Amino acid sequence: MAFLVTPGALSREEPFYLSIRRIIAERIERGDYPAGVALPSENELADEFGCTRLTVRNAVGELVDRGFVRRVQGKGAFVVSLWDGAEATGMGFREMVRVHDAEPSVRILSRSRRLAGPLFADLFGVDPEDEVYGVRRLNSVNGVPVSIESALIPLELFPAIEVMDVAVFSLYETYAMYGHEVVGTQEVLGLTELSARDAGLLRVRAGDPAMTLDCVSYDSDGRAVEYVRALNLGDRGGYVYTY
Amino acid sequence: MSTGLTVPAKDRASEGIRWLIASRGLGPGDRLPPERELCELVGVSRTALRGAIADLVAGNVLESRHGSGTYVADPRVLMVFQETYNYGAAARDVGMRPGSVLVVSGVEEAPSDVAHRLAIHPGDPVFFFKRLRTADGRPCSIETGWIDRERFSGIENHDYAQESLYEVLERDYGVRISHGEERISVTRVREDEAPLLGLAPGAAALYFLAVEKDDAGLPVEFSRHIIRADRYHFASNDLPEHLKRKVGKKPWLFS
Repeated sequence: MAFLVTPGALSREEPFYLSIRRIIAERIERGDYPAGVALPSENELADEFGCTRLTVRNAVGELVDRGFVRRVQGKGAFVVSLWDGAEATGMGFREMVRVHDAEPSVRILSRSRRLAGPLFADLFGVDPEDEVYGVRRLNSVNGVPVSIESALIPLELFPAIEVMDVAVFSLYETYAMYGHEVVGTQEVLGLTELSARDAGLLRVRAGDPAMTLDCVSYDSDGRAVEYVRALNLGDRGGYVYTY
Repeated sequence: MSTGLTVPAKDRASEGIRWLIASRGLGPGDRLPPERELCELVGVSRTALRGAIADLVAGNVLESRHGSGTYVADPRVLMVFQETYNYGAAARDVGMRPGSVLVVSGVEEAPSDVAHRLAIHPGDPVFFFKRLRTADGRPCSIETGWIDRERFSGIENHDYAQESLYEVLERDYGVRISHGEERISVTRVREDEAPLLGLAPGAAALYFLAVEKDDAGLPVEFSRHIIRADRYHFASNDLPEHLKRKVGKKPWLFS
């Protein structure tokens, strides 16, 4: 099968195996390598890209970690359906998490108090001098970073949030404990270019594209209880919406 | 003010600009105050301001016009999943004129992934059509749709640059789209797509896949969309109706 390598896909600034990983991921995404079918052999891919089999193996290894591909002993590497796990919920966008072999992990990058400032004061219905609590998290799957989430929460509603262990209780559980159960969200999805700092955390290049998801969660009184901005590489399936 | 509570300068700049837009009711095409004035208004250095502007330009909130300053970015078609049901409505909702150019259409043997999505067999005949979607005459997305031609015979006898597929399905076949499965990720624009979209090959774009289903949950259409995120994006609003009325149907800041 002959393919056109997208201009800009091969870059001198990144390890070759990362370029190959991206190109294969894109072919899977576009259906050029359909789900359920084996990828071309390591030898064929090495020939196509003009590299060693080891380089191909490293690239495919990362795709296995990201859930694109499953290795079957003695048979090769098979493309996994990107839609597995999607089910009707009627809720907002959900980050795609493929079920098999996935070991999600969360690293807290920072937790700190800050002033609301005029923009978030308006959203949360508090004073700009009131304090909000910020939590920044790096989400990984099988040790490969996939998204960064920055949450802001008005401290007035959740005075003890700082001492809660966000690894034990989800933020939504925490809000419910305080009598502000989340009944719905408003979310906006777009695309941006990663800053050097965020790109470093996600182990990609500065300026690489990422999806943005701005999400405001509301309680039953229509009060905003949380704002989250997520940056998602989108190379693990992105977001699904079902209705 | 305790320094521990101070917001980092770049975040303060970015939030300050967004607040300025919201509080002054600035709209698409409106020019922001000059740099020096913005620094004073927001209370940050030029370095922090420029960093924030670069981020907001990358995120399609602002637009820099060489030599003439910084503007609120042009409106974007916004598909709010619970509120809008087709591209035309999504464009009109933001005051833009939707348009459609048919690139190619025909009947082909279903490729395996298309067949899988439509729950038919590979090689079964499918009607496909590729359209360029525009808003106010500017390209927004390339959309390719596939439909089971056995089930919807004659579906190819319409001009989908003029007609809405969903209207044809409802009127001629009595089929209404009431369920769907949609997935959004990122891709890079290919060489054949770039000129249609007016982008450079390799530029980042949103990649949208959808399977639309009828009342019975049977797949009706499978489609793939390559989307310019600076012209077209997505939102979800799953609040109960009474809260939508309270906090607004359009998501916060609409950006």
